[in-house]
Amino acid sequence: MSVPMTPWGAFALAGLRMGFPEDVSTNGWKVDALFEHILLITGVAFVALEAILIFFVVKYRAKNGATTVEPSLGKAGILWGGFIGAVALTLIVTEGGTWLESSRIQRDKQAGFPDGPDAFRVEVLAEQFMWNFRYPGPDGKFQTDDDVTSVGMLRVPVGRPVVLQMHSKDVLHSFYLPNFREKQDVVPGLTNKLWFKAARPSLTGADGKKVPWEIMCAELCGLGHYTMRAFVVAESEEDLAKYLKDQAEYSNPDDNWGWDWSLGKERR
Amino acid sequence: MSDLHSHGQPAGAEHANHAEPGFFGKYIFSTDHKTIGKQFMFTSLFFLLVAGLAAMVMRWQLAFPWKPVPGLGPVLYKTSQNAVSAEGYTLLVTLHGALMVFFVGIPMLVGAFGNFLIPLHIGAKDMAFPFINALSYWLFLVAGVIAVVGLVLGMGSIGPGWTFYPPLSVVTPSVALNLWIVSLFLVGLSSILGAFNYLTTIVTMRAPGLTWWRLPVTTWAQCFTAVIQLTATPLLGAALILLFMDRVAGTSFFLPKGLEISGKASTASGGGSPLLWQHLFWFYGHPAVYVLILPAFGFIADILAVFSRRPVFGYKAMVVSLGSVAALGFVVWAHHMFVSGLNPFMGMAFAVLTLAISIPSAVVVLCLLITLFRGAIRFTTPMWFGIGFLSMFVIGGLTGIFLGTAAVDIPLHDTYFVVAHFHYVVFGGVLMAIFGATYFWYPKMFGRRMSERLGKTHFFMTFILLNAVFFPMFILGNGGHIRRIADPTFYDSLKPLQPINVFITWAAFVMGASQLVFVGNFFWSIWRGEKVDRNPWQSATLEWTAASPPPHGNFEMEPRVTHGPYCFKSLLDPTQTTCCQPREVVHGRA
Repeated sequence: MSVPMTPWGAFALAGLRMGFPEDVSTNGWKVDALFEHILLITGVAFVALEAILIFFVVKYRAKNGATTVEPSLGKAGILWGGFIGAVALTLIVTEGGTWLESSRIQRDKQAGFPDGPDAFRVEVLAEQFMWNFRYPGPDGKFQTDDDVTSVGMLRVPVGRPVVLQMHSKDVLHSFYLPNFREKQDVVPGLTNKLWFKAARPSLTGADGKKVPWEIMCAELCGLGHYTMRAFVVAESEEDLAKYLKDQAEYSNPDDNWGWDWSLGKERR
Repeated sequence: MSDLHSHGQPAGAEHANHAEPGFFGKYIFSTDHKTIGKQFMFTSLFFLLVAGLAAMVMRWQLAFPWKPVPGLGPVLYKTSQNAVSAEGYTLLVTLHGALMVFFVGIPMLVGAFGNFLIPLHIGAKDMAFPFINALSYWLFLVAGVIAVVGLVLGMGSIGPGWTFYPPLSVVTPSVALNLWIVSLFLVGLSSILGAFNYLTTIVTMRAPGLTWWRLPVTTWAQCFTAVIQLTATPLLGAALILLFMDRVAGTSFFLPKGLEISGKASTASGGGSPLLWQHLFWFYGHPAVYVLILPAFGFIADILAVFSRRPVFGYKAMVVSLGSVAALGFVVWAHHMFVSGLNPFMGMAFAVLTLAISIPSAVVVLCLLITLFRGAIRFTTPMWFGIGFLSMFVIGGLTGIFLGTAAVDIPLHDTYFVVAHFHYVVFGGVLMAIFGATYFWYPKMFGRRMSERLGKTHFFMTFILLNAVFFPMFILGNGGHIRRIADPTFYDSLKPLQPINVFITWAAFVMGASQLVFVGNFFWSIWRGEKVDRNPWQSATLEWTAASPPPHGNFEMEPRVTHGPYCFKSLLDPTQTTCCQPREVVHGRA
């Protein structure tokens, strides 16, 4: 990606999608759509309010010497009272709508939590200042000798639900995938879960390597917080199998972390 | 003017017997609410400069990571080649946030203006408990010294952010951080002492004829604020004690079992939860946000009314709405925890309560707006800040809807979208109100007024530049720019956004420099400003019937109130006291 040289270029680039990075998940569009919906409502409210304010400021500026006005607004006061009531009602209706939609998104996400054999499961261990990943290996079970581990690189299949179970070794971290519109705090002492599905595979760059998306830590976790980055690549099952096979050589399943999945409930 | 309110008995008879206090008695160890208010004001102005400077250094680092800081670098960062270090950055983040909330916002709005205005607004000679009032300031000052001393003497750093989330805030060894916890506990104690004093004063010491529905909105707001402070702050105190014990006594209120910090197994016995702190902190922390905004609403209501010569529209509806905001503020805390692993169904409940707050808030904002309707607006500096507040607070309020909607909050949480949102609330809202109130009540405080020309310069520069600084942050946040990172260029996906960071930084520098106009105006006017009489703005509230500045004991005669706070007609014709008069007076309660 080319770097714009001026702020204006950056503003223009960011303004195209209100700054949002590309959404590569199957669920992210719902969040984006709800964002745009709220932007529309609040945008109308904002413009209306500023317009009234500017109109009042221009229209009711004190003209030479007129320093006091009649005490009662009379009928106009009642009308304005009605206006406030109408705005409050509109707020209840529109915000009720956004709340229902938000709740529906979250309920669907809960209801759709993949707990069948189709799910691709990965364990995430957060520590200052890196992300460790653990795959179950060929036998499909965690805490066995064929587990595959990696640091800073998460590879997932396209079109298959990915379930992450997350622990933290030390302090609070937050697993943030901007391109998937997902975020989940990793709280020491708790097992937090997250699931998502990649809608498209990562592109292959000029150097033949997959171009990954970034994983960030969104919760201040110490001096190296800003360096707590990892990458996520979505690819075909074949590419993924090949990667896991290669990675098995570098992984250290004896590295004593991980936990029995049967202990935690699948649903959060 | 003053005899309009002064048919009562001579007040301050006991004051007459006092010997004239010396310099220390008058300015340092005073129990006079006006002096204490000014002490709070000067102390928090000092912290405002420090916290503002911290923001400037932070902006430098964000635009030009690891480059030597011009001017300040050789002073502050000798050990890291004059550039901000990673530790230095987390210190700046924490210092800026914690100072602005605990040592600028709350003491300025409540300590300074609450103290100065409440007795004057209700026609009292002083607070109900003048000594406790002085104690509240001295606790605050001691807290400030404790907070700063550890850092100045190099007793470690503070880096967990103003929310002090454990385990990070527990496992980082630092004497300075221990001192900060003690300091915040004292600030809380100071708030509690102030709050019950304010409440007692408002409830018991109102002048004859000053019924509840004749209180200025500012005093109503201070009343609700005091209730919040009295109810929520003890929670913070309790949580801070637990945190302190975790740090120094080896308890595990906030630590689970089996932590491994930098490769070393933690010796903590475990059994606690980091989420407990988040619940306790935000049960205080969210109402604390309303401790900031409610007094701001009050100032702006009074300012808009005076300069548009209109009573505040829907006065009672507005007061009830302010009360509702204060009450609802207690049941929304978990919206700060949507991504913390909270059960999503709990999140839905907190989301609907959060969105509910927008209804009383909208009523308040619309009442303020309609106050201008058919007014005769005079564009003084306080009025410009009032108009600026109305137009900017709205952005902060409306963007709250995005974050209150749980599903949308998930990608935006802990990004610059949140930073932009609350800076529109606390800078575009609260700080605008603080500036407006300062220009407005300055003549009463010092007997002179601030320069209008400089005041307007200050307003327009601040108004334009705050948008240049904070609006682009929404775009950064959407783009995935997380908070509290020392170096955004570390991330490939943030590199295209870096020119926006540079733009924000230059705008912030100009905005920071333009605040010097205010500082200069403030100090110049104390000695050289134009002298004013009792009521330079032709306001109808009680404080303007006292001398400028009011003497010890405030009013020459005990005021007797015959009309509401925005009855401007009474200024021209003292027999016209029926306008804006609440109905109960007709039945003879006054």
